[in-house]
Amino acid sequence: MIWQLDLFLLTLVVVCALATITVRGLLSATIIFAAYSFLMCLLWAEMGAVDVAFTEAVVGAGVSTIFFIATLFRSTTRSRLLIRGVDDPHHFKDQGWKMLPLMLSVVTGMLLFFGMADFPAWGDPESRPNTHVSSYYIENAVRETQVPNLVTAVLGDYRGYDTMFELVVIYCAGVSVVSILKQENL
Amino acid sequence: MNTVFLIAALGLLVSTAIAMVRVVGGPTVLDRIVGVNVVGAQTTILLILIGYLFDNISMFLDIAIAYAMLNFILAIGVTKFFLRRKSARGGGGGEEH
Repeated sequence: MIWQLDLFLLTLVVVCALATITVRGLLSATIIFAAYSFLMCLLWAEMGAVDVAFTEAVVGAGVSTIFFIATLFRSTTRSRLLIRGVDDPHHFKDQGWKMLPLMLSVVTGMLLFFGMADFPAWGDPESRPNTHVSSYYIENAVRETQVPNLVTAVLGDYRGYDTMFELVVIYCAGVSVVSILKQENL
Repeated sequence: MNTVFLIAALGLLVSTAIAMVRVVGGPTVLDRIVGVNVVGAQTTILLILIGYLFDNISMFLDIAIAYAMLNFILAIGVTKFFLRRKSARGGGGGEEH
Protein backbone atom coordinates (compact mmCIF):
# COMPACT_ATOMS: atom_id res chain seq x y z
CA MET A 1 0.00 0.00 0.00
CA ILE A 2 1.47 3.30 -1.13
CA TRP A 3 -0.19 6.09 0.79
CA GLN A 4 0.57 8.86 -1.71
CA LEU A 5 -1.23 7.00 -4.49
CA ASP A 6 -3.94 5.95 -2.03
CA LEU A 7 -4.81 9.49 -1.05
CA PHE A 8 -4.97 10.69 -4.64
CA LEU A 9 -6.99 7.73 -5.89
CA LEU A 10 -9.50 7.86 -3.03
CA THR A 11 -10.08 11.56 -3.68
CA LEU A 12 -10.74 10.88 -7.35
CA VAL A 13 -13.05 7.96 -6.48
CA VAL A 14 -15.12 10.13 -4.12
CA VAL A 15 -15.35 12.88 -6.75
CA CYS A 16 -16.50 10.30 -9.32
CA ALA A 17 -19.12 8.83 -6.97
CA LEU A 18 -20.55 12.26 -6.14
CA ALA A 19 -20.63 13.20 -9.83
CA THR A 20 -22.45 9.95 -10.68
CA ILE A 21 -25.34 10.61 -8.34
CA THR A 22 -25.64 14.33 -9.04
CA VAL A 23 -25.38 14.39 -12.84
CA ARG A 24 -28.73 14.62 -14.64
CA GLY A 25 -28.33 12.62 -17.86
CA LEU A 26 -28.33 8.86 -17.35
CA LEU A 27 -25.80 8.22 -20.13
CA SER A 28 -23.43 10.69 -18.48
CA ALA A 29 -23.95 8.94 -15.16
CA THR A 30 -23.12 5.60 -16.80
CA ILE A 31 -19.92 6.97 -18.29
CA ILE A 32 -18.78 8.56 -15.02
CA PHE A 33 -19.58 5.26 -13.30
CA ALA A 34 -17.23 3.53 -15.73
CA ALA A 35 -14.48 5.97 -14.74
CA TYR A 36 -15.31 5.18 -11.10
CA SER A 37 -14.86 1.47 -11.80
CA PHE A 38 -11.53 2.08 -13.53
CA LEU A 39 -10.28 4.00 -10.51
CA MET A 40 -11.57 1.37 -8.06
CA CYS A 41 -9.73 -1.28 -10.06
CA LEU A 42 -6.58 0.79 -9.77
CA LEU A 43 -7.14 1.03 -6.02
CA TRP A 44 -7.46 -2.76 -5.68
CA ALA A 45 -4.35 -3.32 -7.77
CA GLU A 46 -2.48 -0.80 -5.67
CA MET A 47 -3.42 -2.75 -2.51
CA GLY A 48 -1.98 -5.91 -4.08
CA ALA A 49 -5.35 -7.62 -4.67
CA VAL A 50 -4.79 -8.20 -8.36
CA ASP A 51 -7.55 -10.81 -8.73
CA VAL A 52 -10.15 -8.47 -7.24
CA ALA A 53 -8.86 -5.72 -9.51
CA PHE A 54 -9.29 -7.98 -12.51
CA THR A 55 -12.87 -8.81 -11.52
CA GLU A 56 -13.64 -5.16 -10.93
CA ALA A 57 -12.24 -4.21 -14.34
CA VAL A 58 -14.20 -6.90 -16.19
CA VAL A 59 -17.49 -6.74 -14.28
CA GLY A 60 -17.55 -3.13 -13.12
CA ALA A 61 -16.06 -1.26 -16.03
CA GLY A 62 -16.86 -3.69 -18.84
CA VAL A 63 -20.01 -5.76 -18.44
CA SER A 64 -22.13 -3.54 -16.21
CA THR A 65 -21.43 -0.45 -18.34
CA ILE A 66 -22.46 -2.34 -21.47
CA PHE A 67 -25.60 -3.56 -19.65
CA PHE A 68 -26.44 -0.02 -18.60
CA ILE A 69 -26.01 1.21 -22.16
CA ALA A 70 -28.11 -1.68 -23.50
CA THR A 71 -30.83 -0.65 -21.04
CA LEU A 72 -30.62 2.95 -22.19
CA PHE A 73 -31.06 1.74 -25.78
CA ARG A 74 -34.55 0.59 -24.84
CA SER A 75 -35.55 3.50 -22.64
CA THR A 76 -34.83 7.19 -22.26
CA THR A 77 -31.56 8.82 -21.26
CA ARG A 78 -33.31 11.44 -19.16
CA SER A 79 -33.94 10.91 -15.48
CA ARG A 80 -37.46 11.46 -14.18
CA LEU A 81 -36.34 14.59 -12.38
CA LEU A 82 -35.28 16.22 -15.64
CA ILE A 83 -38.48 15.39 -17.51
CA ARG A 84 -40.86 16.74 -14.88
CA GLY A 85 -38.81 19.66 -13.68
CA VAL A 86 -38.20 20.77 -10.14
CA ASP A 87 -41.33 23.00 -10.00
CA ASP A 88 -43.60 20.02 -10.68
CA PRO A 89 -46.02 19.30 -7.79
CA HIS A 90 -45.12 15.58 -7.92
CA HIS A 91 -41.48 16.46 -7.35
CA PHE A 92 -41.67 16.76 -3.58
CA LYS A 93 -43.66 13.56 -3.26
CA ASP A 94 -40.79 11.81 -5.07
CA GLN A 95 -38.32 13.49 -2.74
CA GLY A 96 -40.15 11.96 0.22
CA TRP A 97 -39.75 8.51 -1.28
CA LYS A 98 -36.10 9.16 -1.88
CA MET A 99 -35.50 9.78 1.81
CA LEU A 100 -36.03 6.09 2.63
CA PRO A 101 -33.18 4.76 0.42
CA LEU A 102 -30.98 7.60 1.65
CA MET A 103 -31.61 6.68 5.28
CA LEU A 104 -31.03 2.99 4.51
CA SER A 105 -27.72 3.75 2.80
CA VAL A 106 -26.54 5.96 5.65
CA VAL A 107 -27.48 3.38 8.31
CA THR A 108 -25.83 0.56 6.34
CA GLY A 109 -22.71 2.65 5.86
CA MET A 110 -22.52 3.42 9.58
CA LEU A 111 -22.94 -0.26 10.44
CA LEU A 112 -20.13 -1.13 8.03
CA PHE A 113 -17.93 1.50 9.66
CA PHE A 114 -18.63 -0.02 13.08
CA GLY A 115 -17.79 -3.45 11.71
CA MET A 116 -14.55 -2.10 10.26
CA ALA A 117 -13.20 -1.49 13.77
CA ASP A 118 -12.89 -5.26 14.29
CA PHE A 119 -10.76 -5.79 11.20
CA PRO A 120 -7.09 -6.62 11.61
CA ALA A 121 -4.58 -4.12 10.22
CA TRP A 122 -3.93 -4.32 6.48
CA GLY A 123 -1.41 -7.07 5.72
CA ASP A 124 -1.05 -8.01 9.40
CA PRO A 125 0.78 -11.37 9.59
CA GLU A 126 -0.63 -11.99 13.10
CA SER A 127 -4.27 -11.69 12.06
CA ARG A 128 -6.68 -14.61 12.52
CA PRO A 129 -6.90 -15.77 8.88
CA ASN A 130 -3.14 -15.67 8.51
CA THR A 131 -2.38 -17.60 11.71
CA HIS A 132 -5.16 -20.21 11.72
CA VAL A 133 -6.84 -20.92 8.39
CA SER A 134 -3.89 -20.50 6.03
CA SER A 135 -1.60 -22.87 7.90
CA TYR A 136 -4.41 -25.43 8.09
CA TYR A 137 -4.90 -25.23 4.33
CA ILE A 138 -1.19 -25.52 3.64
CA GLU A 139 -0.82 -28.57 5.89
CA ASN A 140 -3.98 -30.48 4.99
CA ALA A 141 -5.17 -29.39 1.54
CA VAL A 142 -3.44 -32.06 -0.52
CA ARG A 143 -4.39 -34.90 1.82
CA GLU A 144 -8.05 -33.84 2.17
CA THR A 145 -8.89 -32.72 -1.38
CA GLN A 146 -6.34 -34.51 -3.61
CA VAL A 147 -5.92 -31.27 -5.59
CA PRO A 148 -2.29 -30.43 -6.36
CA ASN A 149 -2.93 -26.66 -6.71
CA LEU A 150 -3.53 -25.00 -3.33
CA VAL A 151 -5.51 -22.07 -4.74
CA THR A 152 -7.82 -24.43 -6.63
CA ALA A 153 -8.25 -26.53 -3.50
CA VAL A 154 -9.31 -23.52 -1.44
CA LEU A 155 -11.62 -22.06 -4.09
CA GLY A 156 -13.13 -25.31 -5.33
CA ASP A 157 -13.30 -27.37 -2.16
CA TYR A 158 -13.10 -25.36 1.05
CA ARG A 159 -15.11 -22.44 -0.36
CA GLY A 160 -17.21 -24.62 -2.64
CA TYR A 161 -20.56 -22.95 -1.93
CA ASP A 162 -18.99 -19.53 -2.28
CA THR A 163 -17.52 -20.32 -5.70
CA MET A 164 -20.37 -22.50 -6.97
CA PHE A 165 -21.93 -19.89 -9.23
CA GLU A 166 -18.56 -18.68 -10.47
CA LEU A 167 -17.94 -22.25 -11.59
CA VAL A 168 -21.33 -22.18 -13.36
CA VAL A 169 -20.26 -18.99 -15.13
CA ILE A 170 -16.95 -20.53 -16.16
CA TYR A 171 -18.82 -23.62 -17.38
CA CYS A 172 -21.17 -21.46 -19.48
CA ALA A 173 -18.19 -19.56 -20.91
CA GLY A 174 -16.51 -22.84 -21.81
CA VAL A 175 -19.67 -24.15 -23.48
CA SER A 176 -20.08 -20.98 -25.53
CA VAL A 177 -16.41 -21.04 -26.58
CA VAL A 178 -16.77 -24.67 -27.70
CA SER A 179 -19.96 -23.92 -29.62
CA ILE A 180 -18.39 -20.92 -31.38
CA LEU A 181 -15.34 -22.95 -32.36
CA LYS A 182 -17.61 -25.73 -33.69
CA GLN A 183 -19.43 -23.28 -35.93
CA GLU A 184 -16.10 -22.17 -37.32
CA ASN A 185 -15.33 -25.72 -38.42
CA LEU A 186 -18.50 -26.17 -40.45
CA MET B 1 14.54 3.24 -8.70
CA ASN B 2 11.23 2.88 -6.87
CA THR B 3 11.18 6.62 -6.20
CA VAL B 4 11.32 7.29 -9.93
CA PHE B 5 8.32 5.04 -10.55
CA LEU B 6 6.44 6.55 -7.64
CA ILE B 7 7.02 10.09 -8.91
CA ALA B 8 5.99 9.04 -12.41
CA ALA B 9 2.82 7.44 -11.02
CA LEU B 10 1.99 10.57 -9.06
CA GLY B 11 2.52 12.71 -12.15
CA LEU B 12 0.23 10.45 -14.15
CA LEU B 13 -2.38 10.69 -11.41
CA VAL B 14 -2.23 14.48 -11.61
CA SER B 15 -2.88 14.31 -15.35
CA THR B 16 -5.69 11.81 -14.66
CA ALA B 17 -7.21 14.40 -12.34
CA ILE B 18 -7.05 16.95 -15.15
CA ALA B 19 -8.86 14.52 -17.46
CA MET B 20 -11.40 13.89 -14.69
CA VAL B 21 -12.32 17.59 -14.81
CA ARG B 22 -13.66 16.94 -18.32
CA VAL B 23 -15.37 13.73 -17.25
CA VAL B 24 -17.17 15.29 -14.29
CA GLY B 25 -17.89 18.73 -15.68
CA GLY B 26 -17.96 18.08 -19.42
CA PRO B 27 -20.80 19.97 -21.08
CA THR B 28 -21.80 17.16 -23.48
CA VAL B 29 -21.69 13.39 -23.22
CA LEU B 30 -19.07 13.22 -25.97
CA ASP B 31 -16.66 15.22 -23.78
CA ARG B 32 -17.18 12.70 -21.01
CA ILE B 33 -16.59 9.74 -23.34
CA VAL B 34 -13.25 11.14 -24.52
CA GLY B 35 -12.38 12.00 -20.92
CA VAL B 36 -13.08 8.44 -19.75
CA ASN B 37 -10.98 7.12 -22.61
CA VAL B 38 -8.06 9.27 -21.50
CA VAL B 39 -8.54 8.14 -17.89
CA GLY B 40 -8.59 4.52 -19.04
CA ALA B 41 -5.40 4.89 -21.06
CA GLN B 42 -3.63 6.53 -18.12
CA THR B 43 -4.79 3.88 -15.68
CA THR B 44 -3.37 1.21 -17.98
CA ILE B 45 0.06 2.77 -17.65
CA LEU B 46 -0.47 3.36 -13.94
CA LEU B 47 -1.16 -0.34 -13.46
CA ILE B 48 2.18 -1.21 -15.02
CA LEU B 49 3.92 1.37 -12.83
CA ILE B 50 2.25 -0.15 -9.75
CA GLY B 51 3.50 -3.52 -10.98
CA TYR B 52 7.03 -2.12 -10.97
CA LEU B 53 6.47 -0.75 -7.46
CA PHE B 54 5.41 -4.23 -6.31
CA ASP B 55 8.29 -5.91 -8.23
CA ASN B 56 5.77 -8.20 -9.89
CA ILE B 57 5.42 -6.84 -13.39
CA SER B 58 4.23 -10.07 -15.10
CA MET B 59 1.08 -10.28 -12.97
CA PHE B 60 0.15 -6.65 -13.54
CA LEU B 61 0.86 -6.78 -17.27
CA ASP B 62 -2.05 -9.20 -17.85
CA ILE B 63 -4.55 -7.04 -16.06
CA ALA B 64 -3.21 -3.95 -17.85
CA ILE B 65 -3.86 -5.59 -21.21
CA ALA B 66 -7.39 -6.60 -20.15
CA TYR B 67 -7.89 -3.04 -19.01
CA ALA B 68 -6.87 -1.57 -22.35
CA MET B 69 -9.25 -3.96 -24.11
CA LEU B 70 -12.14 -2.99 -21.82
CA ASN B 71 -11.46 0.68 -22.46
CA PHE B 72 -11.77 -0.03 -26.17
CA ILE B 73 -14.99 -2.03 -25.74
CA LEU B 74 -16.46 0.75 -23.62
CA ALA B 75 -15.74 3.36 -26.29
CA ILE B 76 -17.25 1.16 -28.99
CA GLY B 77 -20.36 0.47 -26.92
CA VAL B 78 -21.04 4.11 -26.18
CA THR B 79 -20.40 5.26 -29.75
CA LYS B 80 -22.73 2.52 -31.06
CA PHE B 81 -25.35 3.94 -28.77
CA PHE B 82 -24.85 7.34 -30.36
CA LEU B 83 -24.93 5.91 -33.87
CA ARG B 84 -28.31 4.25 -33.29
CA ARG B 85 -29.81 7.18 -31.46
CA LYS B 86 -28.78 9.51 -34.26
CA SER B 87 -30.29 7.34 -36.96
CA ALA B 88 -33.49 7.06 -34.93
CA ARG B 89 -33.92 10.78 -34.41
CA GLY B 90 -32.28 12.15 -37.51
CA GLY B 91 -29.27 13.81 -35.92
CA GLY B 92 -28.68 15.99 -32.89
CA GLY B 93 -27.81 13.17 -30.48
CA GLY B 94 -24.76 14.85 -29.02
CA GLU B 95 -26.50 17.56 -27.04
CA GLU B 96 -27.78 15.45 -24.17
CA HIS B 97 -26.37 16.32 -20.80
